[in-house]
Amino acid sequence: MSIRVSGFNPVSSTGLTYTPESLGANILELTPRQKFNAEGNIVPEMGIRSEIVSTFNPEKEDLFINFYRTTESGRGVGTEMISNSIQGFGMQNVRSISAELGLTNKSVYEYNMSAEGMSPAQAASNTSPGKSMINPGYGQIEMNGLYIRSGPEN
Amino acid sequence: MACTLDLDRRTKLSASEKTTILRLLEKGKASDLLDLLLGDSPYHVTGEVEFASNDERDAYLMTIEHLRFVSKYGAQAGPIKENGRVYFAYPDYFERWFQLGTPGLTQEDLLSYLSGAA
Repeated sequence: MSIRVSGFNPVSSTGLTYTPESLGANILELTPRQKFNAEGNIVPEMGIRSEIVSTFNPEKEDLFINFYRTTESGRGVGTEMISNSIQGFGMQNVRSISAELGLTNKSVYEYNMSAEGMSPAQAASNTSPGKSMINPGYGQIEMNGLYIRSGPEN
Repeated sequence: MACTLDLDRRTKLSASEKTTILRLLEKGKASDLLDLLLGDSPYHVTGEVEFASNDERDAYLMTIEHLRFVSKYGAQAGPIKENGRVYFAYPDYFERWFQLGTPGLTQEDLLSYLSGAA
């Protein structure tokens, strides 16, 4: 499956404000100390409801998502975190994004193949990280085991 | 190591309290338990959730997903497809969450809830 789009487009903001922290050379963590309350308003939050850690490989021009999680469901926070991480390293520098499918997304990925008859690329494109990689404009999902990659062909 | 000390101070749940939680789910109170874990419940009295290991963090996150499923679909096994999305129950991770001492939920939180809401 090939989904090609042109260029990076930052996704629309959910309104959350993220605090960046460098965890090492080319390793970036983003966390909002905020959450959505029951009414859908953004309020301060002591704990971490969402976070993403990513590593940029300047030689491969690849952004690897080491870890991301959010307990905010259906608000586009995951996509926003990936988009913000790309911007954190410079959208002109990042040519591809990659990650290993996490626990819930692995379930969805395997379901998409076994119950829906999708190819690995289609199945991955219909997981949250797959959509989050396609939405900013990287497209072209490839799978290698449970590793998902979006960007130009190597 | 400060994280570990904080966790040691936390009062973990007993076997009878596990039974209490399972009964709450049977009574349709999964969303109340979900709010307790997320810190959104007015009965949540413990501070910020901290994890001693990735295993604890994963069990906590998957229990949130499990409780979301149970609060919406009850005791069905799943998966359930709705509006183009597919939802799963995660009973194995829920059990693991108990084994790890219910990270994200303390005895104080549960007692607060039971004394005020249940």
